[in-house]
Amino acid sequence: MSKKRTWLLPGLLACALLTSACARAYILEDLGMILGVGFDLADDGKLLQTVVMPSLSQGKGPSVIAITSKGDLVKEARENISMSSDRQVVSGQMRTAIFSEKLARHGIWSTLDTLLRDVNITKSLFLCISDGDTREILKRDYPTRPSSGRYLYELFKKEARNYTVPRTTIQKFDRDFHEIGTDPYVPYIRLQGELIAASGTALFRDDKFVGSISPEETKMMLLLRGTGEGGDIKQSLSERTESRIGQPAQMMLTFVRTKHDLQIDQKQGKPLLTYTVEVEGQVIEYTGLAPLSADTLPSISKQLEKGLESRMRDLIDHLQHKYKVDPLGIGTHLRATGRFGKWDRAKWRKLYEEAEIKVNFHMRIVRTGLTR
Amino acid sequence: MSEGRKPRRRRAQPSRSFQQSERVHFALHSLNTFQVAILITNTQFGVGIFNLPRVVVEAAGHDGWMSVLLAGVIVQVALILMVILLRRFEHLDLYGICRRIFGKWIGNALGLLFALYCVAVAAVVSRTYVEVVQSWLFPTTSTNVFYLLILIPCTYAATGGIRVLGRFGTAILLGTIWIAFLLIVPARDIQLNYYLPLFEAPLLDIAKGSWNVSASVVGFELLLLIYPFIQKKQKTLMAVSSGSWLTITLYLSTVLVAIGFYSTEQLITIMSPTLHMAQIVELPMIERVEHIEIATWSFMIVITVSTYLWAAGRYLHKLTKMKEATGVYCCVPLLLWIGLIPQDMYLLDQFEKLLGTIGSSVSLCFAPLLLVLSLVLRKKGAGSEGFDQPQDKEVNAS
Amino acid sequence: MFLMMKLLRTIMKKMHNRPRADRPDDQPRTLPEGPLGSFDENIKQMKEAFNSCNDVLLRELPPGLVVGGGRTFIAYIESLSPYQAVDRALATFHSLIEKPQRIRPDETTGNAQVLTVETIQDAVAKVLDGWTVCMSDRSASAYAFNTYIPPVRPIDRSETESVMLGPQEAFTESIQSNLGLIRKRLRTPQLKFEFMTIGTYTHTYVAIAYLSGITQQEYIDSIRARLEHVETDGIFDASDLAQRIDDNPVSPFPQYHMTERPERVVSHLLDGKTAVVVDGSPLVLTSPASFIEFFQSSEDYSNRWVSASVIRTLRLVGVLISISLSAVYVAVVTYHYQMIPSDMLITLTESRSRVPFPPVYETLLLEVTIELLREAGARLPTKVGQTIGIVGGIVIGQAAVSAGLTSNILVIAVALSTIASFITPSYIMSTALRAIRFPLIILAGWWGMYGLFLGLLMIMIHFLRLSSLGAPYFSPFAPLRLSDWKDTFLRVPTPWMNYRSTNTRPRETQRQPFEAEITPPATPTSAKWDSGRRSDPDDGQGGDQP
Repeated sequence: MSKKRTWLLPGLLACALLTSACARAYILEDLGMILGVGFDLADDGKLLQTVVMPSLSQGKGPSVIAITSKGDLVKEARENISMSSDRQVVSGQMRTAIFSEKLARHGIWSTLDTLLRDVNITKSLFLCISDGDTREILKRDYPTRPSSGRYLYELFKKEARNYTVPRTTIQKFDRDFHEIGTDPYVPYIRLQGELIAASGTALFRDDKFVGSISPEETKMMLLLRGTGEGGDIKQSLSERTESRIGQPAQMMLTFVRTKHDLQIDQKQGKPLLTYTVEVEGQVIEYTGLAPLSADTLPSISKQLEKGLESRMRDLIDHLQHKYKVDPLGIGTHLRATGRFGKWDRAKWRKLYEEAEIKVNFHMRIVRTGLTR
Repeated sequence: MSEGRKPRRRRAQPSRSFQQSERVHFALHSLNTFQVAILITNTQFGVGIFNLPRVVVEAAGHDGWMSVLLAGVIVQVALILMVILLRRFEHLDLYGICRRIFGKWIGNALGLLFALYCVAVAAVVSRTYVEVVQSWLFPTTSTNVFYLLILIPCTYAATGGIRVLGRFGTAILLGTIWIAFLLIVPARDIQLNYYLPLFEAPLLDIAKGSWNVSASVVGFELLLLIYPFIQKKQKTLMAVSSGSWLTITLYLSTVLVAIGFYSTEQLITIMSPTLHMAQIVELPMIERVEHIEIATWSFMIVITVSTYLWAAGRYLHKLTKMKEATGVYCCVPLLLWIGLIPQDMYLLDQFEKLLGTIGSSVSLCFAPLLLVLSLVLRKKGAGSEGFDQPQDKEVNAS
Repeated sequence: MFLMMKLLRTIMKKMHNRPRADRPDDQPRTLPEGPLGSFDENIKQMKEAFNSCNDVLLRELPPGLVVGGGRTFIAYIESLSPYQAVDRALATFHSLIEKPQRIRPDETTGNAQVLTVETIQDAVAKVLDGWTVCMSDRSASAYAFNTYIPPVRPIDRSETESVMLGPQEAFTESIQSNLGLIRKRLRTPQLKFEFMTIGTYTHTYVAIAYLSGITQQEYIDSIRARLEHVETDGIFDASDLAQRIDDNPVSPFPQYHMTERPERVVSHLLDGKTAVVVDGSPLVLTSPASFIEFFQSSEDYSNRWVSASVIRTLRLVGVLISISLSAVYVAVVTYHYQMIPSDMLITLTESRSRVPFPPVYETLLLEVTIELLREAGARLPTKVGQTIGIVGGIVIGQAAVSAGLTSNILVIAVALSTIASFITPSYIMSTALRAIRFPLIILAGWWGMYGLFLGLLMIMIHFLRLSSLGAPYFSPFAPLRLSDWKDTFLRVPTPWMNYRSTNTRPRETQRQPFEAEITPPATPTSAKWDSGRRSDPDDGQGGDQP
């Protein structure tokens, strides 16, 4: 390379340094990182936002602080928060977002929109609905975890493994919301005394909250929706069995694995869906007096199947007719068959109401534990 | 002893046995088959893949993945025609072919247009990438600095010549292959229902989607320029086809995973589904893997831009007698200028679309057009164009 | 960066472009030319040449002492020729002059070598080579006797390249001894040594070594031509010479292997490389070198393949850590807080909150401190050096954290990357990587992950452009040569290393026959060797031995 070219690139480099120099820094200790956020509806209809941030008090005092502010828009409320903090408020470490039930009934999409649009917020943000004010939940101190946001995050992760609450990230909500054929659903929490308790699922119709179902019903629902594992299932056997307590015997199964198969037919223009679910599990608790042996197991399995089927029927009835929501994704299944012509929301709702859904269980008890 | 100044010596020159006649052409045979395939793949991989799932689904719905396959087939046909054209003209590259068919003046004018096209593509690709970096990693900083920064390695690589670019391609492959594995995590959440019912979209929509895809597979027309450097010319077709199908396979898997992971209506609302999917991945030590993915993507962009820049510099090298490196340096100011024109998203978008259309037309139609003209005008063979002189004296080339 | 240096060089050349006609004229510029004249003329010329060289003894011996009936003039360097050798030389001279028919020059008598000296220039050169030159007025020619026994260090262990297993001999500064160490390990006439002299003032002997059946002719020619083109006052060390015959002297990375261990040189020669042995330097240069070879150590071949592979992979990972860990810390803490795992977040933030500097300065401060410690420790005598190491490492690190100058995590990161930087077997390469670390930290401080990756990209492109003696530097990764991968991240078991590495394009590619082709010994010693044996039972008669 000859000399006549040596001025060119250094000249460019000099220009590079003269133009706006380095990138804008977000130095770690100058940031107020939002760990969790809660949205409430204020009495005047404005949005009430509570954020939880680490307080860096270095051992003295609480390790997180919670700040609340009001605004029409989420970002406006965020600005108000930032005005009362000496740190730069950023949302890159946000892990949980809670909505109050009151707000959710009016629809949460407008709030979610900003969370989706922001490039800093990760898509594995957990959502949940609380029955009371989110402010109360977030302001509390939890002895086992540094912050309430983290506490919720860990709670959901654990409970989702037991299938008592679903695991809804913002990505999943977005997907179900947009899909014409599924309604989103979100974990539901409740403040019980000093602690937060996960208590089932909140059902949504489009983006509005319509009702909630209990943890047991959540397990049922997730049996049909989930990916092959169910948590622990409690089931009463029929009235004819005896137990120590004087009530019908009850059995708890653990490490449940399911496989489900869906058959879609048409009966007089209405869709007929038949789920065949194969459940296998291990017995962890049994209050009956009759021992579990090879003779009694088949009939016990039959009783379990009947019990599960009736519970499922009730659940589906609630979903279809009482709440009129479709968290099971029936609409998507119907759409996938391609038999119902052009697909839109109205058709989906109509077909869903008319659909007849049957669930057949095949129960298999794999193990009974250490004793019979 | 020596009196006065020492004799000038820039670098140790090897002894004369080194410059035997059989060694004169080694610089020409610098790319082996594998390097050709990888270079084609790397030049095709630009920023297109970030928006690719959205773009095909917008056109063809959840059957968009078929557009990708169709685009692959079209590219294959174009490559076959390209190779026929190149074989017809022995060891010439595009500029030589233009000169042979049209004579010196028009041939050089066409070459100039192609060189300008190369510079424009280089500018738009790097500029788009820098926009992505800026919007994902550094939301508040201006894009110009990043743009200038990325041009530095591009120039450094382009001045090294085709040999460095060939090796660069291989090294990049080794460095970025891990990104493909990031698809495994969203693939676990696929809903099979989103693919069904198959063949719902009409063929016209799929074709429209294909046209959108073709803007992302542009890059294989650089085969026209690297042809003189290929070692085993009879394996060219196999090499470039495998490179192109590798790209198509990677695109296809991304699109398939995206269609399964996102519902169709959701996918249309997301700007860059590929990057979104990378966000789902959770590793124990690092939270946001897509930051590393975007930073690693710079490698891919640099080789695309360097190859295009080298192609433009080569025009100047062929036209005047300057060295290839000088030619590249002369193209850099133009690259800078074009890249700094669009300052907002919409202007950039228009640039991209314009260049996508031009790119698709050039890559798919230019070579067949030249082939037809050469048949009609009955021109073939290398004529008076000689071999290229070796640029540097490297033994053990590839 | 690279071009800025070119710019600087241009500027410096312009500044230093002064005429060279400013040398004082008291010394003759050239050695005296011309054939030997009369006895007195010769003496005068020799005395003129060695004017003020008081260690060169120019003695005129009275008549009859050595040569009957004639004066003798003898010139030798006292420190290089012990008196016993000079005595022997004189005795041989006496025999040569007195009884010319009994002994002829160019014959070896015992250890001595005798040569006829024709010109004054030759005589002066021979004296400077350590020989003893004797002239007499009874004969027209002068003779030189090899009495060169220089002070030389005994063969000892290598300081910079020590291994656990394997021979511990290292090269010394004497070229004769070094050549001997190589020759005794390669007992084949194919091992060629070509001598030449480099340096107008130092006249350093340099030997090019290669195996003629294996090494590619181009490399030999290339090395020879490069060495012939070196015009300089003198070379002090092999590393100095290496930078003059480099493909790219501006690059921070070495393009020659420099080793003090003979078995490494032998192994390189067997691979098809050329070696350059320099007098006065315990380092031997071998080339062509490739990047991955700087991370191979002779211990890898002494160990078994599993442990060798693990250690080799560890080395390569360690290199990556050592250049980028601090930069990653800077980038993440300054720009990419989202990448920190939630569990680490609060501890990291709290420890950072005590530090008054931005992360870049904090890191640079700590890195510079560690480099100062390292450089200082290299210069100190061993006993004090260890104390400083402990003081520096533990006390300063801990004190820095308590004083709030750095954070805990950074101390660990910097310490880890420092330790990882020692893992490179080649000292030159490890210093090069150390130097590279700083630009990466600065780039990460300005432009975060993007800047860091661009820096790594520039380094990679630099490797791709680099060549060593014409062979690509980043082989076997960049010109992808999968057959050479058997010696990169892992070292395949020895029976599978049948082919030589292709980077040097050896003329003979196969190093050892394939396992299947090996015929078992006549007497089976174990089950493995038993399998190929044709058993011909011999009816129980006679012995059982072949």
